[in-house]
Order: sequence, then structure tokens, then C-alpha cells
Amino acid sequence: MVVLTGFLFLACALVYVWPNVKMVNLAYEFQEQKRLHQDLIQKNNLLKLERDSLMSLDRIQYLAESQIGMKEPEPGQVVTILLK
Amino acid sequence: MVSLVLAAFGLILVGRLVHLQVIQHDRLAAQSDKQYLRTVEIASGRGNIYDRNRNQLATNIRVESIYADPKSVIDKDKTAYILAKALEMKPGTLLKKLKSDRHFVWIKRKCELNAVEKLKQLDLPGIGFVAETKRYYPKRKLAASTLGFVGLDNQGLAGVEHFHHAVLKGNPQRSVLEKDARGRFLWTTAYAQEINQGKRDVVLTLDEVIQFIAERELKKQVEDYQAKSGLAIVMDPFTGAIYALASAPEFNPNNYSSYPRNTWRNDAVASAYEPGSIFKPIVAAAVLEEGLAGPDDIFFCENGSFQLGRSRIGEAANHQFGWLTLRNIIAKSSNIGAIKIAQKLGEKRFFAYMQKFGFGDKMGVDLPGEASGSLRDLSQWSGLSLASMSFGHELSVTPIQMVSAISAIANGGTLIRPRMTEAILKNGTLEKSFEPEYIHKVLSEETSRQMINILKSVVKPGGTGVNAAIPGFEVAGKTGTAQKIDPETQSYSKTQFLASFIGFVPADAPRLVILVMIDEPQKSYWGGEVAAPVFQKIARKTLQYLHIPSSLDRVFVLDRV
Repeated sequence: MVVLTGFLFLACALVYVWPNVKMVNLAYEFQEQKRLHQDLIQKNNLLKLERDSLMSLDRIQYLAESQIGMKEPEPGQVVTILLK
Repeated sequence: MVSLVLAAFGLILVGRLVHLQVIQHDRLAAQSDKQYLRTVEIASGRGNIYDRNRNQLATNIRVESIYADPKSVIDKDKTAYILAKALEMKPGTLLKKLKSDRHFVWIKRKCELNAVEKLKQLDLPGIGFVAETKRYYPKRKLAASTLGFVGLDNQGLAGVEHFHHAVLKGNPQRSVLEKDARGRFLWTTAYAQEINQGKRDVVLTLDEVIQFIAERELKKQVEDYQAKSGLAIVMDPFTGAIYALASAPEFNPNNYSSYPRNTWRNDAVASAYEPGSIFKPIVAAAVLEEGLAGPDDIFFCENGSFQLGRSRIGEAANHQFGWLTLRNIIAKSSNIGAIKIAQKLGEKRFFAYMQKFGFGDKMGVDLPGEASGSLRDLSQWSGLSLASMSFGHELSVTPIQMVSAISAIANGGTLIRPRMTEAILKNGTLEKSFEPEYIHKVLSEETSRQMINILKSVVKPGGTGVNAAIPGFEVAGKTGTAQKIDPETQSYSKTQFLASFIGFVPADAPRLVILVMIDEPQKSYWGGEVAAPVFQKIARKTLQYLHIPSSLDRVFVLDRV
């Protein structure tokens, strides 16, 4: 009887403690995922900034003129297409 | 006996429990909270700045700052040497910091992340790291004098950064978090939701492409003419939206301290100049509005020499004009003709019109440090003031005032407030948008139409502004060549000039008002030669960018599929 009561008490205690332990573990997991998320956002932001810097208009103009040999159109060479 | 002992023990236990759980409950609960709860400040980061097409002009990057607790540093000499090598600093300076009596000293703020990573791996005793954000301008020099810059603690120091600091700085929020025995935070959903809830971004009316065009063409001309400086403004005359505000020489706001202070200044709003002949349309518009003369009324221009009291006034380039129509006075930029028009108007009416056009007062543009220019009160005018002011001397105006006044002529007669801010975003969604602000009516539609026709003649053959003409478009504008005051002699210099051109295009349905000012050009100083070609290039390329076809372009109108 005493052993049974003891087991019952232990079971109740585990039922009470287990969700708390689980919650703490999930919080750690969440924290880790959050850190990973922040790191990925940071990497994404840096890539966006790199893209913005590479797309800076003075660089594009320089590359277009010096490497591809593009030049600005003369008046009369432009065709404007308007959509209804 | 045993029962009594057990009962007594039980009572003591119950008493202790009551003492701990009831009597000391509040104190102990507070102590426990203190051990596992911690208040942290959640900074949302400074808001971004975008152009009107949501291109990023200013943002933040994550950096780390390095600090030391000198009391915990074991080998100060070795630590100073290692830090100096990694951070490219002087070991002596660092050693001085490490020998400080304080518990906290900054070693270096906002360092490169790779240098920080190396130091973190070394795990030096007494050296710590703090995550911070650093302002970053991805387009580097583009619109630098408009955007401004921030200080080490991200406080806006100039430009939009300063003007909108209260909006951009964000509101750091405090949150209570749980931590474990090792001090690690237990993140909760509630905390995650709070992050980035206070961030506000500013959207400008500026257009990255138009700004680039204006800066590029202006810089080229300033360099070609070895000028001291230059500025260009591109504005929508109907909404007051500023599309570009270019200055030369420029600076990089990512590294502003290594550029001379005078390059930080936004001369378009913070400086006032004697406008010279670009002011003549104001007197002409006033006389037309009052019905005192018509565009084809003639005035005698004294064959190039006009005696006013003890002063003799001549024409630019020693021109000797006889009779000229009002239209030709503007087209050929006759000083004496402008005086004759102003005399017809009279001092009181001229002064009233200058005020109506917004001169002598701030325009209220949303940029810091706006100057009001100088327009002396009528009671302080000398016998020569009316004459001098008619061709833009004896008063000073800011470039933004000049653009607003010409916009009023271009848009049918309404003075409109120039503006740089399009909207404020909160967490990426629109919180507030800024609408065009009409100040008051200055001219009638009829006078505006007459003035547009007069200003078109400036750009036609025989006018002073032929270099501003754009094939396939009607252009209206006015040249200006203002002598500067020589600070040594306190009289008008014969070698220092301000060359300018102000105009709008397409003349009959204006989309852009553009002002170009080039300060102290060397090879030539005429506004029509130095500033008008810059206007022409900026206008032509901007019209092309805005898909406004010229009469020479082939236009196809297609049905949407």
C-alpha cells in the first residue's frame, strides 16, 4: 500500500513537473531558432546591401559604357511604347 | 512522548512555512523575481530612408563595439599590443585606456565584424563586446547633402537624418524576460512579438535616377569649368515634390569626417545668393499681372547706358539696346529694360510681389537650416534699390525660393511649398503621407500663360539661353550671370561670377522645373554658356526617364493583352 502510494505520488509529481521541463526545453529551442533566424536576417540584409551597392547607378553607367560599349541614344533614336 | 515530540516538530514546521509563505512572501517573491527576471531594452533600430520608388538610401548594419574592464585585464601590455594589431590602433593609446581606474572604457566603437571575430576567439580577459547598429548609406555619395549623416550614437546631425530624427530614431521598448541559472534568456512568444514594433521609415520625394542624372551632369560641368561649387534642383512645379537636389563637390556620408565641412552643407536651402538676371521674370510677371504693360509693349533701353542719380547702369557684355519689347527685354536679358519695367511697377507694388512670390521668408521646406534670404523692408530702400532689384541685385534668395517662384509662373500662378518628404512608414506600412501644399495664388492663369511664352523666347535663337534648348521639346527659362561681392573690396567683383539657368519643360505642360547654379566658373562665366547646357542635359535625360516623349520620338500606343 505504502509503495503504491509512493508510486502514485511520484507519478503525480512527474505529471506536474514534466510540462514545466518541456516548456523550458522548448524555450531554449526557440531561443536557438530565434538566434538562427536573426543571423539569417542579418545575412539577408547584408546581401541586399551588397546588391544595392552593386546596382549603384554610377557603377552601372561605368560598366555599360566602358565594358559593354553602350552609349546614350541620340534624339530620334528613342521609341516610346505606351500601353492603353 | 514520541507523539508529543512529533507534534511539536510538526508545529515548528508549520510555523516556519507560515513565516516563509505568508509573512515573508512579498520580500522573498521579489528576491526570486530579481534572480530569474531581467528587464532588457529592445531597440528597434533607426528607421530607413527610401526614395520615392522605395529604393533604400539609408539603412543600418550590425556592428560590434569593444570595451574593457581595466581591473580584470591581467597582462595590460600584451592585451594592448594584441588589440592594437587587430584594430589598427596605436598601442600607446590603448595601454593608457587599459591603465584607467574605471571599470568600463570603450576600446573601439562600431568595429568591422571580422576584426571582432578574431578577438572573440582569443577570449582576452577583461575585454567584452556589445552589439550595436551603424548607419550605412548604400548609394554612397548619392544625395549626401540631402540625406545628411548621423553621429556615433546614431543621432541625426544633418539633412533628413537631422530633420526627421524624432521619427527615425524609433522608441526603444523595455521588456521583462526570464533567465535561467546560467543567465541565459528564455525567449517567449510575447517577447518575439514585441521586436520591431516601433520602427518608422521615411520615404522621400527624391528619385534616385533623377538625382543621379543631376549629380553626374553638374559634377562634370563643375570640373570642366574648374568652378568652386555647383548645385542643381529638379522639382515638380505642380506638387512641389523635389526629385533631385544635387551639390558639387560632394561627400560620402559613410565617412563624412574625412571630407571638408563646407561639402556637408546643403546650399540649395541653407545659402542665399544675389540671383542676378534669373530674377527678371519676377518683375515682368508683376507688371503683366497689374496690367501695366503687355508682352509686346516697347521700352527704350537707352542704347546701353542709363544714368540713375550718380550711378551709370550698363548692359552685360556692353550690349547697346535701343527699343525692346518686354518679351525681348527678358529674351536678351536687358538690365536697363528690367529697370524700366520696374519703374512702371513702382516700389510698393514691386516689393509686394516679391513677398507674394515668397522672397524674404522661409519656404518651409522640410529640410534643416533653411535660410530666408534677404529682402530689405521698403523703408530701407535707397534711390537705386528699385533699379538694382529689378535685375536681381541688392537682395539675396535661396535656390529653393527661386525654384518655387518660377514654379508659380509655370503652374498657372500658384505658389507651392517645396517638399522633400513623401510619407512616413510604420513597420513597413503607410502611417502618414504628405500632400502638396498650396500657399497662395500669385498670378492669374492668363499672366502665367503670357510669361511662359516670354520665357520660351529666351531659349529660341536670339535669346540668351539657346544652349538650354532640347530638340523635340518647348523649353522656357532664364539665364543669369551675377557678379559676386568681392569680400576684400566690398564691391562687385570683375572676376567672380555665379552662372545660373532656371527653366521648365515641357513649357506648355510643365513636368519639371530645374535650377542650375555654378559658382565661380573659370573659363567662361555666362549663365547661358555654363549653366544652360547642364539644364539641357538634366532635362533631356529626366524626360526620357519619365517616358515623356519628344516630338522627334516615335510613339506607339499598344493595347494591353
